[in-house]
Amino acid sequence: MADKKYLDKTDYSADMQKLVSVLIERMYGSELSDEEKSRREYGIVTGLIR
Amino acid sequence: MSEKGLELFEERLTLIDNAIKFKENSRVPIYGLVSNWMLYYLGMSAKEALANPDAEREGYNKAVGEFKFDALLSSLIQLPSVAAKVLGGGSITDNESDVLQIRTSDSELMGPDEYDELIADPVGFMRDKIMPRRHEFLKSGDIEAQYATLKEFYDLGAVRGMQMGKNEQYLKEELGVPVPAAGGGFMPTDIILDYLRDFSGIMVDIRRQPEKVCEASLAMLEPMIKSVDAANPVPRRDKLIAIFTHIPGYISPKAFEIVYWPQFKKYLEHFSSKGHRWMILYEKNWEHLYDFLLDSPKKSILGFFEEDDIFKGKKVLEGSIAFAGGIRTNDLYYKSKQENIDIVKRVIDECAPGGGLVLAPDKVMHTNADGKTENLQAVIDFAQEYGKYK
Repeated sequence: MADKKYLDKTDYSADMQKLVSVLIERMYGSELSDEEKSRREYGIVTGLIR
Repeated sequence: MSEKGLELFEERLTLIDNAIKFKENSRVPIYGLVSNWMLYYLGMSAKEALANPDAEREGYNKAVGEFKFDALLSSLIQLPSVAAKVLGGGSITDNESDVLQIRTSDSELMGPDEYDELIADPVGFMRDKIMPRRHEFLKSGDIEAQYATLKEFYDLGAVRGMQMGKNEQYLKEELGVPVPAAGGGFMPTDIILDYLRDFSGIMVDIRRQPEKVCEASLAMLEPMIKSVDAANPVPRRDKLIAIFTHIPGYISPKAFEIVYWPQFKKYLEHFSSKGHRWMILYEKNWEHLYDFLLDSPKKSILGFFEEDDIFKGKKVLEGSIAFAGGIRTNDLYYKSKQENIDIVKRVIDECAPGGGLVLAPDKVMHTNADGKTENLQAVIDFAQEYGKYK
């Protein structure tokens, strides 16, 4: 039986938001438009759930 | 840069483009749907290839030159992900195998009661909930340590990306072989299957709450379209947006219509309306879904069909979706050279008239069990001559 990792209800929201935001800023600079940030965030997130 | 290479490159692009458009062609093109199988051909392990990228590149290019494929799946071999190990492995199996494998029964990271959260904010939900459930290192430690791990992960990925980009240029300029696949991502329902609910989870969801699966898939499609739009700003003659499908072969037409088709159709129509073309790997068998496929954008898709009967599929999809297949990996391994040639001869005889045919292995060739070298070579040599349109 697979481990149901979703049963862990700890809230990591603030940490994850901060981490991804820092990642985008350091990797792509702080001058990105909101649209570009959002696109980068999609790429990062879908890459890191694998 | 070789003039002959570029000339050949253009010729091959024309072969593929004509096939997609069901236009008259000089011959049936042959697509090298080949990945790690090349390692077996080269007598090299994945470990050796990782340790010596120059040898991997040289061997790969030598093999590409020998097989004379008209297009390739990838510009280098798909190696086990060293980068994924930095994150603790993720969903990648660390088995020292030469094949990149996704671990099964390890992706139930989202509960069946969490669809509303996913629908409300797909990216936020995956970031805040799924990322830490996937990677233990994201649950503890300070942000600088986490950032350092992620930076190492991206740096390693970038090195491989550069190797692949550089070799794609070489394949184009020197060997004249296109690598058409452009990143199109996985369809949202397949992301739910692969990384959020796992197979048993999503199959239950499709029975019990199909509307939620559909709604979530459509919600995820919006940011995906923006991302793929930005990566493919204009249609390119040498590129096809690539999609690898996963779940449709396992579900009924009724379920497909509810959970998969709305996002799939919307996605195809969005990019087709801009003039993009596709290469779609219709994994497993899609014969029960042809009514939907006939409603896909016409003459803009090169469809790789894994298990469909090519004689039936080619006929039904005539004038809509170009059919890539006809070389069965099982036959390449178990049957004789002559038997393989006879099979491909029949495919050309029955499916080439009218265009829209690309010869290709029915499955991506990964291991040595996906075909004997001499059989693949014999089939290609035969098809290059016999597949000429008179």
